[in-house]
Amino acid sequence: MSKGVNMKNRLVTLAGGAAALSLVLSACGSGSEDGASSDDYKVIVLGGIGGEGVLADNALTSVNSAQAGVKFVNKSGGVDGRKVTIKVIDDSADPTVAVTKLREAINSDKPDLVLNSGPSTVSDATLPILKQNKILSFNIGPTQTSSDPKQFPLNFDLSASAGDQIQAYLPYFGEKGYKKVGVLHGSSSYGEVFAKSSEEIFSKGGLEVTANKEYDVAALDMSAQLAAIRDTKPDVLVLDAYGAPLGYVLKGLEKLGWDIPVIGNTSVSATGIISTEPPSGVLGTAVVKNLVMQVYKSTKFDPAATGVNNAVKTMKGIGPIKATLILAYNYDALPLVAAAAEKAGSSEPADIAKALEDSSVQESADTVILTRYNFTADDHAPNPNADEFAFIPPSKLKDGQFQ
Amino acid sequence: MTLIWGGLALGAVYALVAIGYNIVFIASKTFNFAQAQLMMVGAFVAYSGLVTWDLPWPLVVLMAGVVVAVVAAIEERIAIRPVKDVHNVLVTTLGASIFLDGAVQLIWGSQPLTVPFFGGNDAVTIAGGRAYPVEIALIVIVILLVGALVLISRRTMVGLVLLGMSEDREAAQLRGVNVRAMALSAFVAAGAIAGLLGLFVGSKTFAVSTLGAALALKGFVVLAIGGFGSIPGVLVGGTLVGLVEAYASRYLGGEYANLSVFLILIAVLLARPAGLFVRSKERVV
Amino acid sequence: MDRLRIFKVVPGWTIPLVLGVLVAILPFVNVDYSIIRQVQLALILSLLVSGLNLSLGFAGELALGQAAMYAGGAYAAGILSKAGHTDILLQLAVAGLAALAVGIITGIPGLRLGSWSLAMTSFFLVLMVPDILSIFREETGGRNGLTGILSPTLFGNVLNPDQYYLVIVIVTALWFVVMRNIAVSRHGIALRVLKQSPVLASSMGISVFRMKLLAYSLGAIPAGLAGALFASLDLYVSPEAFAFTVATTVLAASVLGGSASVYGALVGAFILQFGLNQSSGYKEYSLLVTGAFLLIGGVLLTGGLTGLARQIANRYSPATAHERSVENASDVEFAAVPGKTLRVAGVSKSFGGNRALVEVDLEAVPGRITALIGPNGSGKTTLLNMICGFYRTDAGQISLDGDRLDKLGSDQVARAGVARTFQTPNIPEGISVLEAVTSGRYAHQRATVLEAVLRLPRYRRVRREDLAEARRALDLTGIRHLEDLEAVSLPLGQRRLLEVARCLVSSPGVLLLDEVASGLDEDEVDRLADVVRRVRDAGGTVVLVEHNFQLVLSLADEIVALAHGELMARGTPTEIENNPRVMSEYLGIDTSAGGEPVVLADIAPGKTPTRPLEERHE
Repeated sequence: MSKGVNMKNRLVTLAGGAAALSLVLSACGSGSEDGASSDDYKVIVLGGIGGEGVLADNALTSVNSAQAGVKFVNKSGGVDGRKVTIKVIDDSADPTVAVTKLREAINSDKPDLVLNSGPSTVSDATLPILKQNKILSFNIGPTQTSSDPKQFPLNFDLSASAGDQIQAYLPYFGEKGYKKVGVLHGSSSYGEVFAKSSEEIFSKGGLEVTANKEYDVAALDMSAQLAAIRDTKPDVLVLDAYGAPLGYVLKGLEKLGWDIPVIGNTSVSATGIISTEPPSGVLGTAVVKNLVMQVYKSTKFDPAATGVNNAVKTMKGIGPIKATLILAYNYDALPLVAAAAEKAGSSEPADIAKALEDSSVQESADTVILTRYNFTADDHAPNPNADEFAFIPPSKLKDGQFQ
Repeated sequence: MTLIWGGLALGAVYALVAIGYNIVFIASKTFNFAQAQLMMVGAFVAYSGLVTWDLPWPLVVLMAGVVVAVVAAIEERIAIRPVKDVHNVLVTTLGASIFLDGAVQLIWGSQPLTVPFFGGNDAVTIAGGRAYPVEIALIVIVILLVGALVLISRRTMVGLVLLGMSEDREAAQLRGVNVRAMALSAFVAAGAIAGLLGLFVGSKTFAVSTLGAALALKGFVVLAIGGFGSIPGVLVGGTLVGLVEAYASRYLGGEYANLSVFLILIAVLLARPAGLFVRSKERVV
Repeated sequence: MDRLRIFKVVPGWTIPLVLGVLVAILPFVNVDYSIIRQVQLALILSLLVSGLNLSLGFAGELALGQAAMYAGGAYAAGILSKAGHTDILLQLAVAGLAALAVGIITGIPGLRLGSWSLAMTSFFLVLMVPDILSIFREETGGRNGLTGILSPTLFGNVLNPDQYYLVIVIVTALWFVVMRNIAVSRHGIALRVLKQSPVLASSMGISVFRMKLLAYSLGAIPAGLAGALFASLDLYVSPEAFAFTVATTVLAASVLGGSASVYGALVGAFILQFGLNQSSGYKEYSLLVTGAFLLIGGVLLTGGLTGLARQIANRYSPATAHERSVENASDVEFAAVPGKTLRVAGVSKSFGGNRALVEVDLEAVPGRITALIGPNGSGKTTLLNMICGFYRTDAGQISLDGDRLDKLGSDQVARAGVARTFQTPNIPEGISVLEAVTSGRYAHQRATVLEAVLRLPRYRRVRREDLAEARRALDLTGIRHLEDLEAVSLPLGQRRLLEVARCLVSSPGVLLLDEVASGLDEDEVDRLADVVRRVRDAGGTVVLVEHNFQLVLSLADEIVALAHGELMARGTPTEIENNPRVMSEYLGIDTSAGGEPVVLADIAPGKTPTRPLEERHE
C-alpha cells in the first residue's frame, strides 16, 4: 500500500495548492477601486447588468438613472452638504451573488445608501443584511415585507407594488364598463404576486375574475392558456408578460382570432417589440390593435414636463436608455434623500428615514418618475395616486418614453 | 384543432433540435449541448439578413446555413476534438452553449426580434383550426427532413458508414473510415440544418437570446422518447411532447405542462429504456 | 527516495487535516470578508459535487439531480426554521433525510435507465424544481422564495457569523472524512465494479439494484447537508438557487476536479466558485467568460485536475512495486477449495426462432476439470450465461449441489457459489490489483456502510480478512508482486490471472473459466494451467470453456462437446480426441478420407485451426 498512500498525499498537496492559489487570485481581483474620500455620501447601486436576456437592459436603465440622480443632487449641493459618490455592483440578478457582493462592499467600505434594482428575490436576500448593518436603502423589487417599517425601518420601496398598479385599473375598467376579467401571468416571482393581487383586488372591487392562468416563462406558445381563458368569456384580458412571452401571447391572440381588449401591465410596456415597427417589431400591426398598456405619466413624453425631460437628458449623457423610464425609479431616490437630509439637518440613516415619512419632504423633493411618494410611518410603499398612471396604446419609444 | 396545430408546430421545433443531436450522436457518440444555441444563431442571422440588410429570403436561408455550419465546425475543433473523456464533452459543449448565449446577447441585444416569414405573417384557417403559415411549414419541413435523412442513411454510402460507426466505431475505423472527418462532417451537417431552418424557427419563436436554453432540454426529451440515434423517433417524440405540453397547458394549467411532459418521459423510458425506436441490446457478455 | 519515506511516515489524512484547520481559522486572522463568503459557498458547493462524484465518478451513473436534492434539503431546513426549530444539528439531520427521500424517488428511473436517458431525466427533474415549489406555494413561498428563516442555533445559543462559518467548515470536513472512508472501503470498490460493468457486478454477486440505490442515497446526503447549510447562511431560499445553472455548475465542478476522486470535489468546487465569481465582474461579457472558462477547463482537464495530478505522480514516482522478487507460485500452500456439483439437465433456449440450446446436459463435480468445447455458435457462451443467470431457461434445470439456480437473478447465482472469468478481462479502472481481488469477497462477507464509515470492529475484521485472503490468492496465482499496481494496467495474461484470483477469494462452489487462454503466450498458458490444476487438486469444481484444444486435452478430466446447440460428444480427452464427429465438425478434419491419423496434441496453441480472428468476441 505504500505507493498508494504517498500518491494520495501528493494529490492532496496539489489540491490544496490549487485552492490556495485561487484564494490569492480572488484576493487580487476584488480590491476596491473608487477614490472616494471619507466624507462623501457613498451610494451603492445593485443591478443585474451582466444577467441573461432582457433583464440586463432594465438593470442598465436602473443603474443609469441612479447615476443621473447623483449628478442631479450634486449639482444642487449634495446630501446634507456632502458630495455624493456612487458605485455600481453587478449582481447578475442572482440573490446569492447579490448577498456575496453586498457583504463584500459593506465590509470594505460601508455605504450610506443602497439602491437595489431588483428583482424581488434579490430584495428578499439583501434586505436582512442591510437591516443588520443599519443602512438606508431604496428598492424597486418589492417583496411582501419590504415596505413594512416594523420589519425594515430603513428601507423604502420606490416601485408601486403589484397591488398599487392593479388598484389603478379599477377606475379605468369602470369607465370602460368591463365586468368580467381574465388574467394571464408568467411563472416569474412577479407574475405570481401579480396573479394573487389581481384576484384579490378585482374581487374586492366588484369585478368577476373568470380565469387566472399561468404560463411558463420559458414556453414558446401560450395559445393553449388563451383558449382556456376564452372559454370563460371575460370582457377584458389582463396580461402580465415580458420579453419573448409577450410576443407569443400576442401571436396566440391573433391565431385564435380572439377580439378582446387587452390591458398590459408595466412589464408589457417595457418589452421592445410593441414599441418597434415591423419588420423587427409589431407596432402598428393587427396583433396590438386591442392592446392598452399601463404606464406612469412620466413614461409618456410631454414637452411641458421639464423635470422629466431634464432627467432624461442627464441619463442620456451617461448612456443610452434601453428600457422604459418606468425602471428609472432610482433617479428619484437621490432627490428624496437630499430633501429629507435637508429637513432633518443630518445624513444619519434613522433621521433621513424619519424625514422621508414627512409629507412636506415628499412634497418638496424634486422627483420625476412619480411626482409624489406617499411614504407613511406605517407603510414605506410609494402608494402612488391614481392620477400618476395612464393607459395608453403602444407607440414608439424614444429614450425610454412613449411618444 | 388550433391546439393540435400549435402543439404539432412546437413539437416540430423540438424535433428539429433533436435531429441535430441525433446526427452528432450517431457520428461521434457525443452530445452537443450547444445544438439549440446553433439554431438560435441561425434565427438571429436570418433576422439580420431579412430585416437589417433586407435580402431575399432564399439568400438569407443559405447565408444562415453557411454561417451556422462554420460556427458548428469551429465548435467541433475547439470543444469536441481535443477532448478525450465523454464527461468532459458535457462540460465543453455546455461552455460552448453559454458562450454562444453571451455572444448573441452582445451582438443582437436582449430584446426579442421579429423574424418575418416569407409565406405570410397572418394566421390562416386550416382543417378547422387556426395556425400561422410558418407553423404549417415547420411541420412539413420536419417530416420531409426526417424522410430525407432516413433515405440518405439507408441508400447512400455516407449513411451506411454512419450507421456502421454508430454500431461500432473501432470496427469502422479498422475498415478505413476516417472517423474524425465523419465527426466533423456530422457537426457541420447538424449546424447547416440548424442554420437553414433558423428563419423558420425564428419566425415562430422570435430571435431571442434565451431561445437556446428554452429549446435545449425539450430537444433532449424528444430525443430520449424517440430513442438515441433514431431519426424517425424524433417525429414521434416531437409530436408527443408538443401535444402533451399544449393539452396540459390548456386543461391542467401552465404550471403542469413540464410536469406532464416529465411523466410521459418517465413512462416511456420505464417501458422502453432506450426509447421507442431503439432496441435495448440483448446480449450481455 | 527520502521524500518517499517522508510521505510514508506522515499518515494520509494529515494534509487534509492541516488544510481544514487553515480554512477554519480564516475568519479569525482578519481575512477579507469576500473570501470568507466565497469559501463558505465553495464548501457548500463541494458537498454537492462530492455527492455527484459518488454516483458519477464511483458508480458511473449519470444521475445529475443533485440540485433537486439540494433544494429538498434547503426547503426542509428553511421550513423547519420558520416553525421555530432553529437548531442546526436538527436541521442538518432533517435536511439530510429530506434529500435522501428526494434522492431515492428521483433514483427510481435510474434503476432501469442507463447513461444518457438517466442524465436527461435527472436534468429535466431539476428543471421542474420551480414548478413543484410553485404548486406548493403556501408552504414554500413559490417563486418568491422562502423568507423569515431564523438565525441558526446550536444547543440553544444563536450562532454568530464566525461560529456559523466554523459549522460549515466542520460539517464539510466531516462529510469528506465519511466520503473518504466509503471510497477506500470495500463499498467504494464495489461501486467502481458497478461503474465498470453491471454485468461484472452481478456476476460477482453484487446486486446492481442495491448498489445503484446505495450510490443515489449516499450521494443525496451531502446535498441535503449543503441545503441546510445554505438556508441558514442566507436565511432566504428561492427556486433560483436550485436552477438548472446549479446542476450544470455541479457537473462542471465534478468533471474539472476529477469525478473519480474524493478530494477532487473540493478542488472543482473552489475552481468553479472563485472562477465564476470572477467572471461576473466582466459585466456584459460575463456569459462569454463563463462559457470560455468551461470550454478551456474541459479541454485541458481530462480526468479532472486530480486525474492530471495522478498522471504526474505516476510519471515521477519510481515503480516501487516491482522491487519485490517474484515468488514461486508453487511454493504457496493451498487451502482446500470446497467445490460443489454443478448439474445442467435438459436445458433449452431459443432466441426468436433461433434454437441456441437444445436439451443440453452437463455435470461438473468437485475435484475435476470439466471442459466445454464446440465451434462458434454452438451455444457455449449461451450456456455459460444461463448458468450465471443472465438468461432464463426455456426448459430444463440448473442446480448447484441440488439447489436450483435457474430461477435466481445473476447476482444471486453468484452468491450461491458460481464464479466466472470473462473472455475480455473485466476489471474496474482506478483500483489496485489487491483491491480488485478483494472485491471478489464483497458479496460474501458483510460489513455495512455505516460500519465502514465509523471503522467499527466488524469492518476492521472483515477488511483484515479481505486483505489476507486476497494476498493468498495472489500468491497462488503468482502475481502477488504486482499487488500495488493499477489493475487495468497489467498485461493480458496477468489480468486473466487476476480474474482467477478474484474468483478464488469468493471460495466458489464452481469456477467458470471463459476462454481463459486466448491471447496468452505459452509461458502464460502454462502458468494458468498450473493454477487451474491446483484449484482442482484442492477440491474445486472447474468448468473450462476453451478454444485451445491443446490446453483442453492436457487439462480436462472430462470434455463436453457442443454443436448447433446440441450435445455432440462427451468423454475423457482420449475419447474426444478420437471422436469422428468432433474431428470433422470441430476441428475440420475429414476422417473419411483415410489419411494419416492426426495427433492433436501436436497442434500448438494459437495454431489450432479454429481460431481465426473474427471468432474472438471482444
